[in-house]
Order: sequence, then C-alpha cells, then structure tokens
Amino acid sequence: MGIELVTLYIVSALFILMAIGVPLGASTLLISVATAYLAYGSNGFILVTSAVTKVMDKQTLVAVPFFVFMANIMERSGVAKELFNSMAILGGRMRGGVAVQTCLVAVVLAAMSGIVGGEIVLLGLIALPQMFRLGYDRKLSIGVLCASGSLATLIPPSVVLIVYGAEAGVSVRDLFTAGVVPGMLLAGLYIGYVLFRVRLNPAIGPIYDSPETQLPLIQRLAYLKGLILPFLLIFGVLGSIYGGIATVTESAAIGAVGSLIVAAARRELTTKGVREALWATTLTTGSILWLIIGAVSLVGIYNLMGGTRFLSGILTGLDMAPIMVIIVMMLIIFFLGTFLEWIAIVFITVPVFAPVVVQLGYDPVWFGILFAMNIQIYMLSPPFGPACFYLKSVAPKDVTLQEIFLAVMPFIGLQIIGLALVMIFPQIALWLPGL
Amino acid sequence: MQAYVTIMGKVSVFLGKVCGVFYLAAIALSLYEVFMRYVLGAPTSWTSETIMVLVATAWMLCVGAVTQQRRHITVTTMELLLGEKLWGRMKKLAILLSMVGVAGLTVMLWEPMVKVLKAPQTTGSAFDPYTPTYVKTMLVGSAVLYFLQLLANLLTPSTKRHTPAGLGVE
Amino acid sequence: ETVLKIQSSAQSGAYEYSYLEDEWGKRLSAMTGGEVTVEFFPINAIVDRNETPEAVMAGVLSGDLNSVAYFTGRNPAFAIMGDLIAGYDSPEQVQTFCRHGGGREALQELWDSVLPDAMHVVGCGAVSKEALVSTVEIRGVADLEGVKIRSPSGLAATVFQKAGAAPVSMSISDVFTSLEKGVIDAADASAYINNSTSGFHQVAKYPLYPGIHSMAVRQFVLNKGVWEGMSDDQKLAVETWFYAAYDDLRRQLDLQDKQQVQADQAAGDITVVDWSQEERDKFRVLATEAWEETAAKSPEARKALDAHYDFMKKIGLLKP
Ligand code: NA
Ligand code: NA
Repeated sequence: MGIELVTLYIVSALFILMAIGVPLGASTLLISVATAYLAYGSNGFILVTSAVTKVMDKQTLVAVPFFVFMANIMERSGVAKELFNSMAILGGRMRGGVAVQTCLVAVVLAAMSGIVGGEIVLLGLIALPQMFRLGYDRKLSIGVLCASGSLATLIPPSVVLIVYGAEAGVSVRDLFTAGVVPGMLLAGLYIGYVLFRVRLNPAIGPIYDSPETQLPLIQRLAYLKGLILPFLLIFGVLGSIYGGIATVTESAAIGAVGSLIVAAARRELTTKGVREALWATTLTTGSILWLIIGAVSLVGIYNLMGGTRFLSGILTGLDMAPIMVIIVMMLIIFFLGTFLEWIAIVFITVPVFAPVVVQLGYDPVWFGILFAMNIQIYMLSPPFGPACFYLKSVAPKDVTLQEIFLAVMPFIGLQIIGLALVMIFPQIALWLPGL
Repeated sequence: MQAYVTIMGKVSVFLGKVCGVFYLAAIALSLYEVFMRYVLGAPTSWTSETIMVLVATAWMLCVGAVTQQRRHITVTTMELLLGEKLWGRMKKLAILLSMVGVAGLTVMLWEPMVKVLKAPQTTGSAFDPYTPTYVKTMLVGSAVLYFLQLLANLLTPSTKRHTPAGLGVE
Repeated sequence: ETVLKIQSSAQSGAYEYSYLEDEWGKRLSAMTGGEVTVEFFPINAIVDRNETPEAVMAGVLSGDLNSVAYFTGRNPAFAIMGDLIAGYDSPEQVQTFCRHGGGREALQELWDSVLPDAMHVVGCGAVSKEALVSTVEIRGVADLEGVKIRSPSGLAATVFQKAGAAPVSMSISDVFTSLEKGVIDAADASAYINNSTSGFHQVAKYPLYPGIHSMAVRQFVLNKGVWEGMSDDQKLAVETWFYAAYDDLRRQLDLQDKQQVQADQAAGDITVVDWSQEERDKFRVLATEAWEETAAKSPEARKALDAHYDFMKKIGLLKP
C-alpha cells in the first residue's frame, strides 16, 4: 500500500472512530496498533511500544500536572473570582473589557510556560467560568481562551521552537526573539476581533453590572488590590525563570506551591480543598496524557511507511514560484495538523522542508516562526485540536467538544491572517532578532 | 456482574486518588532541587529522575480512574443526530473498539516487559535508576487496568451509569 | 536488491545527517551496482533512540548508526565503549581504535554477550569531539570548581564531579533558557559547529574548543540475518563504504568546526577557550578514577576498558 493510501486510510479511520464516539486517545491507539500489525506483523509491535514508553520519559510534560494543580487551587479559593471581579471593575464601562484583559493575561502566562496544555488548562479553569458568570458570550469566551492560550508555544519560552531549532539546525535564541512580535500580533488580532464583535453585538460582551464600574478611574484603581495576589504569584513564577533561579519546568512547581500560599493567605486553604484539587488534577492530566500516548504511537509507523519520502516527492514535483512552495508547505503542515501530534509533524516535515527553504533563499528562522504559527492553527483545528481537548478537559460539563470546535473557527481565520501577514512581511518576525 | 463493576470502580478510584500523592511529592522535590542548586549551590543527581518516575507513575495509575469517571476526551456530535437509543448502542460499540485497541497495546507491551525483566535496564545516568525496567513493567499493568475498567464500563447498565463528575467529558 | 533502513543518532537538521544522506547515501548504491542501497532516518524518527537494537532485531530497521553510549543502561560496558570521557585527544584516535585497535571486535563481543546472535557490528568510530558550552571562563581543572554543568551521561557527570564541578541533570528542553538565565553555568551539548548554529554561543560566550570531555562513538550495526544474507563482495563494499564515509565525515566536521572557530575569534565577541596539554592530562588522571569505578560494575565493562588500555598504551596515551 502506498503512503498516499496509508494517509487516506489513517485520516478516514480517525474520522469514523471519532464519530462512533471512541475517545480520541483510544482511536489513535487502535489505528496504530492495527496498522503496525497489518503492515509488519508482530515485528511491528516495537513501533508502537517504543513511542508509548517514550511518553513516560517526556520531561516537557512534567509541568502539566503542576499547572493543573495550581489552576485547581486558584479556582477553589476565591482568588479567581475576585481577580475577575476586579478586572471587570477596572475595565469600567468598556464592553468586552474582561475578554481583552484575559487575552493580555494569556500573553503574560505564555511567557512563563513553554507548552500549550498548562496554559490552556490554567485559563480554562480560572477564566472560563468567570467569563460565563459575567455574561460573556460562550463561543466568544471559549474561542479567546483556546486561541490566546495557545500562544504559549509562540511567545518564548517554547518547546515547539526548541524542537524545530534542533531539527532544522537553527539558533533557538533567534527563534525565541523572532517569536515575540508575531505572538503579540496574534494577540492583537484576537483583541481587535473581540472589540469588533462586541461593537456589532453589544450583548455578547456585557458591561459588568455593578455600581463600582460607574466610579471614576481614580477610585476604581482601588480595586487593583484584587489583582495583587494573583499577580504576585505570576511575577513570582516569571521571576524564578528570568532571574535564573529555576528552569521553566521547575517554575511550574513553584507556581503550584505559590497558589497554596495565596490560598493560605486568604484563609481558604483546607485539606479537603487540596484533596479535591489533586483528584481534579489526576483526572485532567490523565485525560490529556492518554490522548498524547495514542497520538504519539502513530509517529514511528508513519515515518517508516514513508511519510517523509511522500513529502519530498510532492515538493520535488513542484515547479512554481518560491513563495508558492512555502505556501504548499504550509498547507501540508496544516493538513497533517488535522490528525497527527505536533512532534510527529516536526519529525515528518522539518527534515524535508528546512533544506528546501534554505535553497530557495529564505531565512530558516522566518520559516520556523511560520511553522510555529501554523502549529498555533494545528492546536485549534478539528478533529485533532489539542487546545480544544485541553479546554474540554477542564471546562464546565455542558461545554461540548463540538461547541469548542465551532467557537474556535473565527480564531483559526485570524491565525491564518496572522500567518499570511508574517509570510508577506517577514520583517514582523525578523526585525527583533536583527537588532 | 454488578459486583465486578463496583469493585473495579473502587480499585480504579483508589489508584486515582493515590496519584495525587505522587504529584504532591513531585512538586515538593522540584522545590527541594531549586533550593539545593540555587541556595546551596549543590544540585542533586537524583531529583530530576525521581520526579520523572513519580509523575510517570501517576500517569500510568490514573488510567482506571479516568476511564471510570468517563473523562477520556471524546467527540459526541452524533448523539444529537442519532437519538438516545442508537447512541446508547454506539457507545457500547465505542467501548468495545477501545477494548480492542487497549488489548492490542497490552499484547504488544508484553514481550518488552518479559525481556526487560530478564535483563534489567537502568537509565545510564549518574543516579542510574532502573526506570526503563520499572516503566515497561508498569505499562503492562496500566494497560490491563485500562482494559478491566473499560470492561466494567461496558457492563454498567445505562440506568446505573455514573453521572459524569462536574467536569465530565462524555 | 537490499535496502538498508538505518536510524541514525543525528538530528535531521545537523550537517552530519544531510552530508551522510546526500553525499554518501548514493555512493553505496554506486559501489554495489545498485545491489545495496541505504535509507537514513534521523534520531527518534522510527523508534526511541535507546531502542534501536530491538527494532533491528525485529527487522523493522535493518540497522542503526547510533551512539553506543545510549545503551549504557543495558550494561556499564556501553558507557566505556561509547564515550570514554576525557580519554582520547582526537576523533582520529577513536577511529583508529575501532578499525585497527580492536575496538570493533570489542564492541561485537559486547553485543554478542548482551543480545546473542542478533547484531553484526560493521564498524564504529567517532566523527567529532564535543565542545563544551560555558557562560564562564574555564581555563583548567581548577576553574571547574563549583561550576554548575548540565551533563546527562553518568560517566561524564562523575568525571566533572571529581573535578569539583556540580553536575546538574535537567530536561534537554530546559537547557537553553537555563544557560541564558544563569540557572546553569555550562552544558555538554554537541560539536562546536552544532553549538554555534543552535545559538548556544549567543548565550554562552566561553566555549571550550577542542572539547575536553566527550567524544561519542557511533556504531554501524546491521541485523545479523541481513548481514549474512549479503554476498562477500557486498559485505566488503558496505564495510569499505562505512569507513570511507566516516573518515570523510570526520574531516568535513573538523573543517567546519575550525572555520567557525576562526570566524568567531575574528569577530571577537566569543572567547574560545583551549586547554593546555598539561590541564588535559590532569583531567585525564581524574577521569581514570571514574573509568575504573565504571569498569568495576560488570565483567564486560572491565573487558572494554582493558581493550582501551591496550590501545592507549600502544599509541602512548598511557604509560605501559
Ligand atoms: Na511560552
Ligand atoms: Na489540529
């Protein structure tokens, strides 16, 4: 069977299993188990087991439970509620103010996490219920959270950029520096979109109906105190990374302990609360992890069956303008992003694409940013959209996956606009590292 | 049959609760390492790998609880299109298909476990723990746990089905 | 026609990978009249880098071109065969050890005792010496005192500890930010040219070159059945091809390292630190203790170290 057919078979099998209601992790697992057996017999077992074993050694994922625990403690203590009340009051009569503020908080959180799972879960637990409570449109809230939470892998530090750098042989420093402005650009697009939507339909971003919002700005500043504890926590975590005290992974543990201290300072720390937070952490982390296990188990098989050769075949057959080649590459990454885990996408595409990009005379750092921005799209795009899964794993139970997928659609559009802008104006990515 | 469902559920939930202890220990050890390295200038050779083992153990042990609480991430679009009765049957089919996948994984993981138990492997670092041996063995255990809990879910009558927890996914 | 599917230990973006694939891949086909061809995969592409032997045994890979030290967890002997920390001065010495000094035979014997009748070692060798990236100036053994240095391998960590440094173990994804922000002072990374392209020298301006510690030995191993299925001529061609490729690769990488060092020194922003022979010898003496400790862990490890000693005495690195 040719790799084209294999690809087609994998994608359609995934769609069918998902439609039947097989959990995503089990669907990918079943597909890889079946493919390995059918293609290689019992000799193919190693392809699946090696990937599964490897997940248990993925040190980048260690931060996920720490973030989830921190989020659960903050959600259980009143600190999240107070934070969002204060934000709403500070936003005053501005429509959509809290959504905009959440987006800004997401940018700050992105600077303290290199992985998407942690940040989305944090925002999903803390911000989503509060935005619902404040009367924000469900789809708008969900979309903003998924999209801005995914910025963790574009704004440094970023595991995606680190892995791309290693595979493409490009400076991680340059990639990190280049990721800052495009990250801000996307955040700006999200904020602009929110403001645009609430202007068209004021009902979706209600004004916080409390007398405090009527106060003059000077008096409203008193409500900054609701921000003090959460921001102390955030700056503690950021400070531990940028002050050279802890690694990015360790800083997540510092955040977890910090959230306990914040809860204790507010006299809201109970054994029962901690126990519940741990139980929620176990379930959330577990659902994310067994999803990754399934997704990763496809990597080796797909590579061995000729995933990379398939791509180089497509590219060498192309006789077109260089920028069109880049666009085709972006489409391929986008396509793979509908059914593969991002690390698999890196393994399959970067070895083939990076040399071609250089040959065409483009800067591999610029391409790396395009790649990372495309991974932003991958995070949201169905059926395999991890950001949506992560949000689902913590969202209130009446939020369904299909609602999330619908909610992120406009934001995927914004991401494509952002990607196109960086493609047309490479300086958006390259001027900062060029300084 | 219902006794099996109940007992299996209790086992899964108990193991899930144990995971919390592992996460707490991992958080504490991370802080200990920061303290040793930054304050005392004496980084340890063992914390980073121990944290990894603690967290990996929790990942493997939690699968029963995640399954029992029906927290695996699932698309439920068809429920709206198909109506309750047909969707109920499809859910059974979905569990059966999951069981096939997990059973396949268990079979595949078996031989690596047997091999590594015969010739134990370490990580080769300065601390040199038997992590590969441990993980390959535990993985078989967790795949079996996953399978048994799926079976329990299959045998749970839909009327008695555990209502998804507050954050339920199904 | 035999297609050799080989998983290597190089990142796909590394010069080493593309040079082997583009320059040398097609030569094997030419040398055998199209009877034997080779297809490379980058590190971790098919199976985890530590599990290539299982994949080779199952036949999903025909062989690997992998770092021997990755198998240390199976037997401490692989640490000694794979990277005798601070042992040799240059990759040439390691290539000579492998080809003419009993190295290949010692590795074959080791695999035969660990996984009997599974692997044929075609050859082995080192292609470059790892440079050390550092944010502080380390001019000799004394300067290592208290330096926080990230080092994943057990033998390297032990040697650094004996020299008074503080080995740190952390995830590879944390290394870059940690160097930049000062969580660690130094890290063992890769060859000079690789560290340069990965941007390490932008945040760690005192690289040690030529390196002082590590020289990863790669093995070119084939599934025994695949090897035995080839004709004598084909076997000879594969062997010749490997040694020619590795010899050439070593020269190319050396050239690249040196060119980059010249460029960096001319630019003046980066201080390339080169240890004196006296300091290198001091470091070797410290390392010898660590080798001996590792050798005591298994009979195979003892044998492997003795094979090194034999060769080192022959070429005068150790006094007989
Ligand atoms: Na980030
Ligand atoms: Na996607």
